[in-house]
Amino acid sequence: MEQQDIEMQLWEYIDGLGTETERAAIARLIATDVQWQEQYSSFVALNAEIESAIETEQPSLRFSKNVMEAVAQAHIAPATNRYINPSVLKGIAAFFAISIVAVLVYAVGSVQWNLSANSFLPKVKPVDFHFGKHFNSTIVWIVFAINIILGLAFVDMRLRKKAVSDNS
Amino acid sequence: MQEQQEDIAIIQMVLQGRQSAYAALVERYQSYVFTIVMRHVHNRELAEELAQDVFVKAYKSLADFKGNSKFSTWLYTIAHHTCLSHLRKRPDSTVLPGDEKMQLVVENHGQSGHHAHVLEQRTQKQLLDQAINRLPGSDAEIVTLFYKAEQSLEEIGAITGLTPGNVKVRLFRARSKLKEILQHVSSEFSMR
Repeated sequence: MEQQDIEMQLWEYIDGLGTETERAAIARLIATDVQWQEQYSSFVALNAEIESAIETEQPSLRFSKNVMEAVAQAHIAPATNRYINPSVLKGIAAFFAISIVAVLVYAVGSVQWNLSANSFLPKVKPVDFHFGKHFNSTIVWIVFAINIILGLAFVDMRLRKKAVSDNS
Repeated sequence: MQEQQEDIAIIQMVLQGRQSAYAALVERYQSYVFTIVMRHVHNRELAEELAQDVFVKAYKSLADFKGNSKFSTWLYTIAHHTCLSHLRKRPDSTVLPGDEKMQLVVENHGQSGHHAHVLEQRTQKQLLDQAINRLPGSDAEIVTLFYKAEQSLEEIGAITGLTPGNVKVRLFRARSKLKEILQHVSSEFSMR
């Protein structure tokens, strides 16, 4: 076993980590193997030294007063779950997940997996999509308009709710 | 455990409008938060400013504390992110990278060895404390959280955004460096 592995296992043992079986195995090695015994003793000593050497730094005497003065001008924000609806977040996540899966399915489906003699790469069918043709159509503009109206209605609804809760 | 329950009781009081109760939390955790910040910025004035910012942020977000973790873990997470955010804006706050800083401690100590009376005054404890301060900020933070702030590897992972396995490796690395320094200094001392 490498030196670093021994050290790692000894520190885990000292920190009280690992399963009962692992700890028992390490305890046995410490009891029987001189190398493990010496290393263990030096680590226990170092651990004690670090524990006693570390001291917390103290801020100035005015610190807590300064904090309380700053806090006096602050307001506790409402809990995030009161203004962020988790189902909205889940909906957005689902939309992106479905979009990504759809693109992947389309991409994988359009790949020609037959290899030709002079090419080892799968051929991908070029996408036959004319942006100009679709985005100039009246239907797209109607969809945009409906979305804008829905968006404005949603904002209006949220603001009304907020005004009611602020007044109450 | 009792401390955690006290913290939750204080938080309830603050959320019910007794703002002054927050002072008890500030008093209890100010030295830990200040130490964590000092590990990153090495400047008392700046550390006080950032530590104050940590407590104000925690106060503002107090309604978001769910009690799923210890309040201290939640608070130290805010401290950690406040430091990182500051260091991203002001990367010059840390002057030397960790290993160079570590080398400097050893060299400084070696130089002081020429003056026996100065060396005698320096105890191993002081040297170790200085060495911890000179570790890379993130490693020094982990050592402090583990030894002083009584945070488990899982909790340190939650604070720093590392996996418990990574925390264990960082802690191992930091301890090895500290051991290296102590060995280096004691061998120099015995040669004189």
